[in-house]
Amino acid sequence: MIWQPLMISLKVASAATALIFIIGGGLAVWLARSSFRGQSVVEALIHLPLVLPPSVVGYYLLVVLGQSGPLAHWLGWNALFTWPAAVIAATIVGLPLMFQASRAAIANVDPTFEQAARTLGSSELAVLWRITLPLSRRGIIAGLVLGGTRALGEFGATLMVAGNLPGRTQTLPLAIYDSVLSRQPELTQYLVLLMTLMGFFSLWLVRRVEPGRRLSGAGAAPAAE
Amino acid sequence: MSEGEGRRLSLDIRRQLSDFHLDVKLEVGGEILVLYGGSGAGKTSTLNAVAGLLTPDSGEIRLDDEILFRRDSGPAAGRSDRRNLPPRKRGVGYVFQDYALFPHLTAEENVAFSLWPDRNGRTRALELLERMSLTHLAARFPHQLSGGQQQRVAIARALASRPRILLLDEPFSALDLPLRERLQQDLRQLRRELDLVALYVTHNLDDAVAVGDRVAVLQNGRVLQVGPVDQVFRHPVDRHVAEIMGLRNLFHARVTSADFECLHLDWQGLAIEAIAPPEAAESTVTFYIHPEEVKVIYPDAPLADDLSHNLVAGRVVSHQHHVDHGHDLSVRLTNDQLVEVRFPDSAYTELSLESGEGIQLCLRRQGLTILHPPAEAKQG
Amino acid sequence: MTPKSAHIRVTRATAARRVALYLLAALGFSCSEREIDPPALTVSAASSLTFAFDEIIPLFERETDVPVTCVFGATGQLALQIEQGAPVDIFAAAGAVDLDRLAARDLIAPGTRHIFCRGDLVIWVRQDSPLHLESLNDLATPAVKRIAIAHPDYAPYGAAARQALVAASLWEHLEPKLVLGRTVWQALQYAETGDVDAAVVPLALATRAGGRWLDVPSALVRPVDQSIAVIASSRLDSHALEFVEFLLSPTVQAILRRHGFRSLDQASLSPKSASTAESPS
Repeated sequence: MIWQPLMISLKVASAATALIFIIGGGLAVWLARSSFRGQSVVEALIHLPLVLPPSVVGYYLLVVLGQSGPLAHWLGWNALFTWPAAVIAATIVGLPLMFQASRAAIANVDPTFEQAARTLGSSELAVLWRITLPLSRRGIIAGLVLGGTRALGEFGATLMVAGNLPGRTQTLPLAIYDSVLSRQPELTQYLVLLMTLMGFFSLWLVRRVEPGRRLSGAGAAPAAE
Repeated sequence: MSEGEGRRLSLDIRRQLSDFHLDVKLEVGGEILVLYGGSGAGKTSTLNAVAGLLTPDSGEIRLDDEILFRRDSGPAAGRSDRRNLPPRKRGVGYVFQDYALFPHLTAEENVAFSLWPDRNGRTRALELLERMSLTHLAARFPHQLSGGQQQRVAIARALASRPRILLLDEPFSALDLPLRERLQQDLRQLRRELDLVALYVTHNLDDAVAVGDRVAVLQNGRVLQVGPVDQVFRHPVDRHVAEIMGLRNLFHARVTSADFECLHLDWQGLAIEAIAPPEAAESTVTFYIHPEEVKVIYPDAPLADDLSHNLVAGRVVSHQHHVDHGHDLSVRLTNDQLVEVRFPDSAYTELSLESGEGIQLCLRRQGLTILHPPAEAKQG
Repeated sequence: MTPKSAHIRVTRATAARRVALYLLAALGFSCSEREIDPPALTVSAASSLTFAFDEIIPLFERETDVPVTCVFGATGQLALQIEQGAPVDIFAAAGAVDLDRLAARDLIAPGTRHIFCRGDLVIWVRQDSPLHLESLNDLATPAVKRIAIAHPDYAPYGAAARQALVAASLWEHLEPKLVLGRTVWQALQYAETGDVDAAVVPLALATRAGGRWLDVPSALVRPVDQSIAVIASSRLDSHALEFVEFLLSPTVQAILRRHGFRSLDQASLSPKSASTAESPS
């Protein structure tokens, strides 16, 4: 009874983390170095799931993923009650955390390094790949761990769009909810303990990965001659 | 005017910046041209424009036959006249003010950065590091290197891709004197060996004199004077350039008369002469005399020919002796003007230079320069 | 003290006073509200009673002048809340399991527990659904991709649905297609929005939901008891008992019948039903 929700949680969280990495990373790179009218609106949209209650997020997802939504209309795919729906819900709530951390890390990279790389023959893509991302790597990874952990713990919206189908979409948080309602205190305790341990582990991981030494900044103090 | 065969960088650009309007017109040959001025003068902006990191509003940047940048303003401007090569296609090497060595790469990787896909990059990088006597540090990271070492890595990195133009932004400002002098020499030699066009930004006069072939003085985004370092230093074209160069002994005087030989001036009551083209009588001029051109008259020594005019008297206000350039004297003349005097250690005789002592000076006619109002900025 | 800093001090003091005032006012409001209005009877009711109670409760309020607040949910979930001390006066539960558990913990006021009606199960589809179900076996066809039922572990009608499908030897085949709703209400909603093809719900919900339905044969599962009980900790005993009596009265029993429940005198008769081929009543 513990194994199934654990596997599903890991499956959903991994897929969500991959999506968060691609989408969040892309958005962070784009928005850290640009300024255009309406940028604050875009950023507010990205951060929205952080401040909206899960029921609101769930509602929007219901509309989009359900029978009356655009996906069903154009692709004939009703995504509700499938594990992709759980992945989507988890991605949406984890994205803002990863985006914030990544964007800060990227913006923190001294632009002089990027200028130097340009004079040394790098195309914009090469600047990104060889300079910007390596120098902001730690912040990005820390953000990814945070976002992934949040995705792992997603409950409210997932319940609304993925349903709570044991063996298919019942993630750990949902399994805990069920075990309480169906009065299985031992199971509840095991599941809760498992999730708590996972939470501690992620936080430890974040601390390890987070930038400690100051590596950024063109004028880093040199050693004595 | 310019040495070396063929290499020529032409700059004619304008750009509106937040603090000033950049308007620079320069021709640079195979030489080190120093861009000299205070902070906010536009020196770094000029470098960035040449590098392609700053896009001018209009103008042209050309290296030999190749147009690096062109944008015309005005009604006749057409799309096809526009050109703006990105930095990586301009063949520039840029040594940044804080070196900007990539902290996540070793010295060798930094130097080899511009050669990246090429497998021979390592070899060339090590060659350059050897040239800089840094081979033993190739595997170190920038934070493990001293300031001077970082500086040399930065230069090696800029040279790795065989640039045609070398841009340096206050490269030696954070280093101590002996190291700075060594690197200045290295730089001059490198430029000769590699036949580069070099633009060197500094706000330090000694640096400019030591490194540059010619100097361009900038202020508020405009070039006030260009010419051989020596010439600009000794004969600034106007008050502004003189002030920027940190020159002393700037005075005002009234023209009394002019003849074919010299200009006669009434300097706040003292009559002096200057070798200069005629000016209208009764007009006010600014003149300048280098502290080394103010000679001390020894009471018991015969006067040399060229010291027989512009004799003035005054009292010593302060006296300092420096190990490297002799005596610095401050004298209050009878016309109440304060004159700075400098003379080397090899004095004819010991003079009593106590504060308040009377002293006689001669302002050498040849060293007395008349400055023109800022409306005319001359090009050397 | 300079005039400016004096001004700032005064402003800060005023602000602090204002904040304190607002807080007190808020507290005051929340306190006073309870004193102004008469105490309301709190009812926790199984979701199967949603439509029926929407009609019955206003009737009670009009007749007795006792205000009633009603919360609907899965019986199991409501029972859990009561166990944890939720301030409920009356529990209208589906099935017997949860009431038994509460009774074992002495949470039910003795002698107040009564069955007041019984409910049957149906299979409900939308009016415009392309499905035409003649029997339970039709659920096994590939045209039916998803079926919603309430969660069997804590919703008695869900448990009943499972029982029926097991009895019909369809459970194993249909289990992969099942979507579990938290309550029968949610199961119905899934079908209403078209997110599932069919839902197994109480008849009492089907009759008011539009759409078409197919009876689940009573041979497969017996009707679900709907019971009422007063919670022991209630302080509105008299009003609560009034409500219990009200539910058992002939008027209300008739209303319950109209909604599709089996009233007490109808225990063994089959209810009025509409097949999926006909339009609803």
